[in-house]
Amino acid sequence: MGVCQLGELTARRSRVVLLAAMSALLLVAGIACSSTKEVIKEVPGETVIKEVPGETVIKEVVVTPTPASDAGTSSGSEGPKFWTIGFPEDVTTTNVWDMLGPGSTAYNYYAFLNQYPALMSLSDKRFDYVPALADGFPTDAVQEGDFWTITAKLRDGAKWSDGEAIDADDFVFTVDTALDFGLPGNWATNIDPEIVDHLEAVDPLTVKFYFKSQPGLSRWQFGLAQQAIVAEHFWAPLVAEAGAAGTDEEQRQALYAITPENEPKGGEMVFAKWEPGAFVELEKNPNYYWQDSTVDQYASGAYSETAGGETFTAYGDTSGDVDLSLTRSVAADTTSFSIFSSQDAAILALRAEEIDYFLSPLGLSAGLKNQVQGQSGITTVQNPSNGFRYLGFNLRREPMADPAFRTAVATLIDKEFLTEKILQNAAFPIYTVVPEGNGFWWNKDVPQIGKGLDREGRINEVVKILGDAGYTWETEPAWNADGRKVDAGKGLKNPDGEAVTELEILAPSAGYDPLRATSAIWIEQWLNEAGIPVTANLTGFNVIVPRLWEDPDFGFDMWILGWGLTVYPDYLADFFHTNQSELGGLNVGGYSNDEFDALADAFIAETDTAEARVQAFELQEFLASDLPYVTLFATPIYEAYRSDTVEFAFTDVLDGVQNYFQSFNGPLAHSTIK
Amino acid sequence: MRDNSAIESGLRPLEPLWRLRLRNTARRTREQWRLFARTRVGLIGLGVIAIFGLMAVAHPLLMRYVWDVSTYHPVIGFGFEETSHPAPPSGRHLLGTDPVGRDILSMLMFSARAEFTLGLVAAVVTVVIGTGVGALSAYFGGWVDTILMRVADIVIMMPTIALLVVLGSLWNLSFLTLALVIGGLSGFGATAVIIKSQALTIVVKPYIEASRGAGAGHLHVIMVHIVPNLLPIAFLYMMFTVTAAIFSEAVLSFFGILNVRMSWGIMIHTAQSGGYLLSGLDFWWLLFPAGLSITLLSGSFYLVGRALDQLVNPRLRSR
Amino acid sequence: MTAYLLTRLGQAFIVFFIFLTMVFFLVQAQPGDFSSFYALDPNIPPESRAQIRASFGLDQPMWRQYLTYVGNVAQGDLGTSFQLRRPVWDVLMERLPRTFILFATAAVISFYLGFVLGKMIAWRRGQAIEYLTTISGVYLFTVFTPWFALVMMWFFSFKLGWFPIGKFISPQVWRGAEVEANSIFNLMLLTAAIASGILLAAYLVMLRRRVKRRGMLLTGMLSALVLASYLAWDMSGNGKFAWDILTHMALPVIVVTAISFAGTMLLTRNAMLETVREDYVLAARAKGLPDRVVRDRHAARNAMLPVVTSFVFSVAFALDGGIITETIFSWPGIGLTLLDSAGSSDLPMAVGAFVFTGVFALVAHFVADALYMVLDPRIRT
Repeated sequence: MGVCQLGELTARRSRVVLLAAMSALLLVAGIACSSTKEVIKEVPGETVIKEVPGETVIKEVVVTPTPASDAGTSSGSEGPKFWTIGFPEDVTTTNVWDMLGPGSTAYNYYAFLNQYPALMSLSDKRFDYVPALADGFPTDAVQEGDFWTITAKLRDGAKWSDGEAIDADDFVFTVDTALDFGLPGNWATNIDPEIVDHLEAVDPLTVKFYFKSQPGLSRWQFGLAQQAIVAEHFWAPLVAEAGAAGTDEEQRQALYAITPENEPKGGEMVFAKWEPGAFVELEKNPNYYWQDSTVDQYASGAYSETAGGETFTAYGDTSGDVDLSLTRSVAADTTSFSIFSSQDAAILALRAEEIDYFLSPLGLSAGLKNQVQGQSGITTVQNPSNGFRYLGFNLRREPMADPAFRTAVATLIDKEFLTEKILQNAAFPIYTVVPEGNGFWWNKDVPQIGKGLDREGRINEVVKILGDAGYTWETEPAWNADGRKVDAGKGLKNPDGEAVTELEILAPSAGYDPLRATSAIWIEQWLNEAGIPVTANLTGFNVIVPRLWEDPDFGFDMWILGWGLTVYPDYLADFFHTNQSELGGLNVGGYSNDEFDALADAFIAETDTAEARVQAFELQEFLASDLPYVTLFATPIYEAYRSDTVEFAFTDVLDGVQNYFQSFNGPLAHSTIK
Repeated sequence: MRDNSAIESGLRPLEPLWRLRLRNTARRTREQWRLFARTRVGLIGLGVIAIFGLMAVAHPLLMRYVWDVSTYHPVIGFGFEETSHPAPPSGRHLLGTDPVGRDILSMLMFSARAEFTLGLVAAVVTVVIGTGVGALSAYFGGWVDTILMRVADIVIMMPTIALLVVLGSLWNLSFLTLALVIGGLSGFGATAVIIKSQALTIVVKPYIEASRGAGAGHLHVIMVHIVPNLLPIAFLYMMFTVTAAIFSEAVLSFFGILNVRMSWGIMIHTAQSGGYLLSGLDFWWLLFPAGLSITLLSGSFYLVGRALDQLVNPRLRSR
Repeated sequence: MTAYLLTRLGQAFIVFFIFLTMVFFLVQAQPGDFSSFYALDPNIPPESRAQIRASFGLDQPMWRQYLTYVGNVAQGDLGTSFQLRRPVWDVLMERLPRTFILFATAAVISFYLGFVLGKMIAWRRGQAIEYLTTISGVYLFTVFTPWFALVMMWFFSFKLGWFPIGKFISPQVWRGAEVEANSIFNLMLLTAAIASGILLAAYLVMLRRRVKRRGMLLTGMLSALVLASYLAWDMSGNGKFAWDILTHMALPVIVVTAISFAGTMLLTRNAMLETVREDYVLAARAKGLPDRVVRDRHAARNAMLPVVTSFVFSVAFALDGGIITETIFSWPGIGLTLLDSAGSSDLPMAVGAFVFTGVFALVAHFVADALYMVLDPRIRT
């Protein structure tokens, strides 16, 4: 599957990470799935992942455009340049095997991912699939005997930071190591032994990938092609030593335990220093292969990159208006990630010019944004985030298994009231699992159950829906026109005539996330008005997670949590496919529908982007009508940075400035330090 | 604190006994009150507590007769008439609204009741456990004493917040569990040690010996002769327990560890998670009412405790 | 004297043992069993989970598990943090110096401040200053600490710019530094330990020889020691790092001091009120000795005994304050670690940090006892 998920899913693995962070920030959950692919990040809260696809268009929101920077002057005349980024939590490792395996926390990714090169990448803002270390696009997959193969040419002259050439052997070594050691996490997602057989270095600049079956988009383009690559000449002896340990697990532990000293890097930055609890410092990579390359993105959708005098173009005709034009050039000589365990303190530090940008995965709260907005030297930006909060149903139990019941619940929930009133427009309602910000994949035409109805309309509608499905009440709920309120229903009985038993909604407590807690209480109130006996159990995140992911009896009814998402929406399949419904899977509610599974399988195997999009739309319509989740709302992300000291090439992008830290063409190459 | 009034009353045999007792009690109370009032800090504390008590009592009445439930409900109320939230104080919302549109005054008053309940439960638990442990330990001595006092040592040295944080990560902490834990900690810890030392002075009194000699059981002696004499000092330590309970609730709520729907700590947490904690005076109504309430109420119980200390501990009376 | 210390040490051991037992049953009683406590981390593949179970003896009867647990703790094996994926013990050792230096400084200052103020208000009983000090002390004692710490930071660090905004070192100062922050912390601790050792030794010698003007001599020695350590640090080239740490420490120390001095102050006051009624104090006054002399030499010295024993209360209180203060000030010590790990369900880390905190308090308790012995001549001889 691709992507990963975030959120709470992660429950498992990342729950740790998540939870923690969350308590500080508020949000939702991040996830990481065990089947992730690219980069995931689990963040606290909500999380994220990002990577992605092809041609995604992102909807730009609000944001004040900033002129493209004329970076490239990084080694300015005034001596070394620094910038300091406020960071909510410490990293946990500098070891890449750990970082992309069990230690895949959001913060490790933000700080360190940019150090590693990959064959392919995603373009800025639009997330088009474009070459990075590759010289042009790799070939399509062709069948060759028992295998499907793909051949890629590498850019000539790309070097590691120590001056050694980045060659095909580095790719072979990286993939071999992941397969030999059976590395978990993102390694296993991108280098899935079920699909990937081996790699071959045809010559120093040609790599051939051997697959056991035809790789779909999520396996190749958004999988292996974007795998981070490590330096063979540095790692080979260390890996050999770790491989000499006893059992497989001991070998892996030995590998994770290595603290690499002076590891050569291929990305824009090179690790310099980690002072645990205080800061992480990176230095500019003197041999960055993309240094001084220029990129133009055209309104027509075309992408053009010029590096070393050669120009590569893709996605159409390079005429017409240029949307985005930038030079990749690492501006700062030193980048520090300075850790602040209190968000309030970090914002004070930003105002006091101690830091240049505060990287908060969940963005700033409304109050903090107010605090910095309009301060001289500080710019705030707002962007859509790729994630959503939802009400989930345990479809293994009655009455949640009944679509009519789920439709009634969806009808009762006034998302517009929640977002406009309770959340003060700090969120917007969503009706499908792909957020609007992920424009290319977002299906805006899904059914919007209950939208626009007032309380009276909702209660009447629900009486009808449940009545048609055979439910009865001892006292039917009714709109009381005099009191302008609902006279609550009582004694709801299911179509078999049995009383509906008391149901429970698990949701984070007010101490953890006041917004979700408040939403849960409102939902409890609305459902009770309709006579549905439900109680919101507001509790700790660390109580909810084990109940959803670790209880073999699936002893829960409904729950409210959130997901951070990848751009390529393979979560459409993973969250709801029957094969994810066993204990600990992503399909927590146990949704199982043969028709849906067939559509989802086809989507995952699809190799053509346009066709995949059609299928994604179909999946979304299916979900929005059948409602295994009632999606509630998505939130924008607010960020602030010191525009008097740093300038970003663009700030209008899904997830905002922090998006820079989640891709292989990272932050330094796109910013100017003043 | 035994009194010698029995001798005086013997001089005036004409009055019925109950009236004498009443008069005695009244006189003693007046005397105690006079001493208490002289401490001043105790009076200040008592005054503050009374104000919060009034708030707690008034809330249900206001909700019933004055305030519209859908607007003023402390958990799911919403100020429909304000254009944006948090809204500053106005005629409709005397202390403004919070970031999710709830009336601050209503939340504050509602929570006052919860805090008193929390404090009271914790205090009662403290008294029961503290008195029990202290009395048993002093009466029986020996290994009972050793074990109970070593446990007390641990509890005393234990940082409460650290313990509660860990408990919160293992279990789901609600108001009730919090009250029980704090009451238990206080009861097994400092209160037990102090009550025990008081009890030691009692178990050596001749009437204990006499009672035993007359065939009274251990339980009877403890309950009838020892415990009543320990109550004044136990009452004193109740006050400190209340302080600890209110303070812990706020801190745990602030860090998101406690599972309650509304409290002063949750109010501050809501302001903090909305990002208003350092907005200075711009959003004062989000912070000051709840923040000051926590400090004032818990501090006041502490002051009352100190003042009572002067009564219970004669050596501290003024020169 | 040795016998007394040995007795206390024995008691401390019993207490430690009871403490561990309580923690064990606490963990046993939590939802989920002891095995999920260590093996829940889904990153751990099944075979190593089995290994972990075996190493903790989880398939054994409970009394065996208990013994294993106690044995592990005794060897410093507190498990492995899910989140940091390092042994809990290593993480704690990395953070201990930071917590210790912050906490010890604050504890000493707040104890001293509380003692001085307590003595003052006892002497001025009934005057306005007593009410003022008592009330402000008590309300600071019960102030909502997280908010108070933030406001202090906002005012002193942000508005006035006197101190850095949180953290324990500045990346700017430490950029390219060859030394690790922890080695500087350790050196600072060493410096402080040597200085206090010299002072304590000097004090004991003076006590024995009945030297007069001890206060003045000690103050002089203290100044000389401060100067000497300043010179030593300056010459070592690490002075700027130590100074950076000191500037970051200042505000958290002030905050912890402010919230905790009242406890000692009120105790001192009560103890003083009890001693001023003693005959020897009355006698001293009757002799016409100056007030200050009676207060400091006769009353306060004896009043100090119960106050010192109460030091253990302030230890627990300051540790609590430390959790809050460390979090607000981004000071990655034991308290911040505890809160973080509890919030992220990193149970081995949270429980490990808690056990460690308990042991820390126990040691402080023991030290207070030893100190008491030094001060109380009845035990000393």
